[in-house]
Amino acid sequence: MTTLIPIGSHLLRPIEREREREREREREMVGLAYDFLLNPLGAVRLAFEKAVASSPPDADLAAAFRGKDWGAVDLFRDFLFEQGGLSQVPILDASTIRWVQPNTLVRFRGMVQDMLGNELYVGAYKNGSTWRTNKFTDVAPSPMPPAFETQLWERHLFYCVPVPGQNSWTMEPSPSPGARNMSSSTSQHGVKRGRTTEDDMDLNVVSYNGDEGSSNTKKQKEGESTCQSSSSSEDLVNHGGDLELKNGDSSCLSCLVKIYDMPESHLKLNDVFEFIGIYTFDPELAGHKDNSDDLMYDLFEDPMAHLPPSKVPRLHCLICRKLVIQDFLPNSPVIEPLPNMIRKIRESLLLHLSAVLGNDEVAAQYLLLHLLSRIRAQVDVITVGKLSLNLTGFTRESASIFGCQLTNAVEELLPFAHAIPLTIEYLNNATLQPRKDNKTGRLVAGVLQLAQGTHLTIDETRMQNGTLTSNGVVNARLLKHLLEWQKVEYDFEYYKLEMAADVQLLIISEGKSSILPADLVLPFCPKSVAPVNATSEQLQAWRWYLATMRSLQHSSEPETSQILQDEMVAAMQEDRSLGYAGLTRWLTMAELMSASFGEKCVTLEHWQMIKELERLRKERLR
Amino acid sequence: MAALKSVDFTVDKALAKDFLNNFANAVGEPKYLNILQDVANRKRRAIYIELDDLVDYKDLDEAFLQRVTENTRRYINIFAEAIDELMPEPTEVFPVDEDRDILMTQRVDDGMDNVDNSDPLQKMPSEIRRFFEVYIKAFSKGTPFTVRQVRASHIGQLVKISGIITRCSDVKPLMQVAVYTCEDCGFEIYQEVTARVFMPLFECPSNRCKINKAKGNLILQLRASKFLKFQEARIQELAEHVPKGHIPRSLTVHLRGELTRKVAPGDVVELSGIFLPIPYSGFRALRAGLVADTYLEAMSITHFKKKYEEYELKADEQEQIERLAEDGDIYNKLARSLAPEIFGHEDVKKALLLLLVGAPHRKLSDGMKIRGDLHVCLMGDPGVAKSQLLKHIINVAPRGVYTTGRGSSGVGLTAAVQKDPITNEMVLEGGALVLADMGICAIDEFDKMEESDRTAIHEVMEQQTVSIAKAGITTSLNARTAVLAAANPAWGRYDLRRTPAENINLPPALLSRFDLLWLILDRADMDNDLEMARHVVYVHQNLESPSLGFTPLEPSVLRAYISTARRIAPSVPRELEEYIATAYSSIRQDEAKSNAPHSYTTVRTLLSILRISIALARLRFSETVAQSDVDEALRLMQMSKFSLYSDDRQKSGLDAISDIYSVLRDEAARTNTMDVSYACALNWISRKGYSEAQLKECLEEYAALNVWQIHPNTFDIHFIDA
Repeated sequence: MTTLIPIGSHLLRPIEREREREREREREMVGLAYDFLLNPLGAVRLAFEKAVASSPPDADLAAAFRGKDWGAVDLFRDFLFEQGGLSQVPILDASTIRWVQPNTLVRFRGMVQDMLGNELYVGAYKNGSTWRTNKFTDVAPSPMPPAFETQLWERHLFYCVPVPGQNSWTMEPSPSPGARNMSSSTSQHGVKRGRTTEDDMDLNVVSYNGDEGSSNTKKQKEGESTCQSSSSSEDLVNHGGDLELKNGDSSCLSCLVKIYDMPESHLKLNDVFEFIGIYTFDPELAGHKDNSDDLMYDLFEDPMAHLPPSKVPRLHCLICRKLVIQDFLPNSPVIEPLPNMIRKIRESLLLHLSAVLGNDEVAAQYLLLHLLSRIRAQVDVITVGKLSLNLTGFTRESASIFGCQLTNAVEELLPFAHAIPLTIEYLNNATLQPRKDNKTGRLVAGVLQLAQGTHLTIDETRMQNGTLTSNGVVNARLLKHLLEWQKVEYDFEYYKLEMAADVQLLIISEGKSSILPADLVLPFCPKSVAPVNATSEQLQAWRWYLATMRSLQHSSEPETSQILQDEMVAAMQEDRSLGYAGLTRWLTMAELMSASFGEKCVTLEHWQMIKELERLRKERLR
Repeated sequence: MAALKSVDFTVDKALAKDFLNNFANAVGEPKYLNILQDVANRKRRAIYIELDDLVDYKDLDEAFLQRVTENTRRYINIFAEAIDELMPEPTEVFPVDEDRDILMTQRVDDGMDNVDNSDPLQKMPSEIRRFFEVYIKAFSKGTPFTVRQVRASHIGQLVKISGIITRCSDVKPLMQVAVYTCEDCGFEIYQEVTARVFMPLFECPSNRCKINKAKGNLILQLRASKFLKFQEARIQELAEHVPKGHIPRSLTVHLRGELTRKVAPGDVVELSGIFLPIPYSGFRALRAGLVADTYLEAMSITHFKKKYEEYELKADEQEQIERLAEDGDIYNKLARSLAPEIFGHEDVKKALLLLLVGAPHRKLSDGMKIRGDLHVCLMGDPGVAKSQLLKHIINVAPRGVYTTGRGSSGVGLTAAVQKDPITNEMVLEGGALVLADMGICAIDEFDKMEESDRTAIHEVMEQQTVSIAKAGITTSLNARTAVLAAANPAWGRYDLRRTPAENINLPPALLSRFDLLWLILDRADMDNDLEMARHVVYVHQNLESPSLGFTPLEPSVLRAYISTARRIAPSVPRELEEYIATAYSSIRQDEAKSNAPHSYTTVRTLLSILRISIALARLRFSETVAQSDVDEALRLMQMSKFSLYSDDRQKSGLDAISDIYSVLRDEAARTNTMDVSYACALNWISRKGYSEAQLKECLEEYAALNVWQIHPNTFDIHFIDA
């Protein structure tokens, strides 16, 4: 193993020398202690020993370090973020897993799909007279002493999957096949992502003694544009039904993340995170099939049994951070948010959208607002910020042209997008609802277990007469509930739990959808079929625009709100059917309209635009 | 744990013995000695050492108590040893028929001439002699942990958790003491088993065999070994304990001996037990590496009570309730705290509060039953938060079932006879109404009910039973439930051009069973609209709801208050009977006078008045119904009627002010007096559904006309004789 020393290691060197003799045996197992990338465990253990040595001798050492960090994480933080080490850390995915060595530092990006609770492990043990630690690993370098010389610590287990519906353009490019020097390519795209500082990466090149690196060109992700409803339907049924099945597929790598010393509230279900930690794989643990004494445990299957290390890698997380949509824009252009720049991008995006929609400008306006929508809060009966759109007036023919263009366009613009072809068959067969399987102790994902900010296109044009089974009724109800409240009910067998969602819902239908009551119903009037093409620069600009404008905060001047309030009361006197929903919709649209211009404050001008749009929409509805 | 500090377990055994010997319960009986006597007489097996008793014990040693809670497993043995020494002789004769008894007598005889006792494996373990099981029960006070709160630091400790059982294994035998006989020397060899897996002995370890180098072949004697009943279960966090954005945790529970077969999947239970790591053995230890599985060794099981009557108050709740009860405005406060996020609808909420409280059931001497449950029906336009109200009520009620008129399961609302898929027997399965027995059944989309359910619901609402005569099963099930129904008007929206009767799509026979019927309409109302617009704008700006102007009570407090109120059975004093009778007859007369009666005042109405009044008295924690309760009951009924027929009132040409005047004048004439006190006047008009502000306006207006004089301070009315 050739190892070049990255910066930061010199910090450890004097201590390293002092302890050289003591760790001789250990070194055989874990290699050199001073390499953060290739031997992170060495750094962890070294830091532990240092901390033990510097604490008072009479203290209950192991207990004192339980649930605490002894400075190891700080070392890594310093290495990763201060010294630009982050770019050298390979991303763990289906292609890199072939050559990434166990017990090295990796990154993983994914959505928390299941929470497997906590795990107690022998965190510290006495080896002779000194305490040693097993933190951040699955195997100990030496056999365990009897129980009274060990300390049980706990860590949390999270099962993470790639974000459902993640579009291929969000993926960072995998290292090119056959590249001998993996690290140079990793560090390159690290620079491209522009997240790390502009440090000179070339100074600290680490070369991996990787495998033959025969990583395939990345298979296309699920959620990739699929116009044939039959195939995409199958795809989605699969997704909901059985994640394990997906795991066998090399394109989709899930990961069991073990988190230490973190308040549990930090990670929530369906959050998208980046975990940086130690990848462990022990062929001895993985290779064995459990049979002998598991007769005893036939009733309660260990959830781990379904996640064999050979299929689901383990990652012992050192540092994690929540990702936002912007993090999924690869090589995003640095665009200064100047008002006229934003206006320009807005205009071009509107043009693009109306081209997609057959030159229906009103629909393009509404679609833009819809794409910018984001759930900001759920207060009692009001869900602030939701704006689901139902485009009606599609026929089977126009759906095949425009529907397809539309889904493609959405997938190119937003990082996470799903399409559901709503048919009787689909409703009856698909698993939309995430469900806890008490037999295996796992949360079985449903199609509606989605990350925050996912876009969902529901194509209702293929719906025909038929009978819904009870599963179909449940599914239809779930979709309706999601549309109305942005909440998904998870089934825990003995009770149901509602989880807040943030899903942009777009419905394409012939008439006004009665199963799926959207906030906005707009008859779609295409004028012509225009060819749709966009350059990659344009796409990048639009993606940046949508992600950035979407995350804007909204506010409004008291005077403006007063005027809006009065106008709303007047409108309500005229139209009794408005209600809370109507008022919320208007306000949301006004806010999104101002956001589309990159402005945080709702002005009367935006309000007028909304009123005009609504007038046009009403005309069409008549 | 042994490393912590050296504890002299013999001293602790003496302490345990001392406690068992000397503890006297509240009536001075030696509680544990009595239990031991029962054990000796083979009347019971389980001995529960309650920590509560340890605390109450006069010679309490704090450190000892702490040791017991923190190292419970060890102390179970210590207590068991202490009990061994204290075990009295049986005072009653019981038949000696068990194999074990015979074996035991034989063993005792053997033991006499067996000098080879130096070998520990040959010494009979005390376990095999015991006919009892020791459990240490956690404190009954104090809130139980959730599964999530049990951490690594609790290992070895006695913890109390609450949750729902999701899975249960069969009950299996678990070997506690393995007994072998040696083919060569004939000795019985004992092996104590503490884990779930054990390595059987193959060579006789007795001295004789060792000396002879015989390597005696051991044969496991299943009949002589001691087995324990053993069951595994899995407990999951309750929905209300799961933090937002997380999924419920679960934990394995081991149930032994007498605790087996106590739980079934779906039970909500409170468990006390010892949190332990699984001692691994053999290959599993290798495979699991550094990871330790954990489980809870159950010590006691308490099923959660879901009925009001059995609701146990927590210490702080009792205090809170007392404070609330002293507050005069409790009726309004409680009502407002129901679904606080739903704006307005004060009277509807009051009705729902009374539905939660209800009145006691009465059983007359001739066997006739009079229901105490209040039935309420909410009718109204779509989107007026009816369903929200229903769901909230179910949340507050300790036992509530929410269903829709088209119940999703095949059982429907009432009950159905179904074929059991395994046994092929016909089984009776209760529907939502039966499941909600002694609770509340909220039925949404009441108007869309199946015809078969609709006929059955008549019976449920008055007789409170469900009768079934199907597939050879003829029976009637209890359905003592308060029905809370929500329905849409006949044409989806309320059609103002049609009569209320046409709009309400329910037969009068069913309607008359509801004590209160509410129509919630989405009417054009400037104030309301402004309020709504303001609310929406506020929420959009601040991403939180505007402050309500009061702090709503927590659902748990509401539940506690209501359950306390439900324990009271107020009576109607004799002097009020007359009052109620006149009120009832006047309603009847009003109805007879009007040419188009829209309500059907029957004896049921009278019973409703009584029920509502009693519920109101319960809310005040009063043993007797007061006149104010009756007035409020009448007012609510009037309001509920006005919600239906308010348009007619406006059509009749009388504005509120003149109507109030006519009410006051009529009442004064009826009682033949010229002086009406303000309180009386307020009572009368509120029964007709008017507010105090309207009364004041009326008083002023007519005083100006010199119809009456108003006392400047008390506002009492004196009619000027004309």
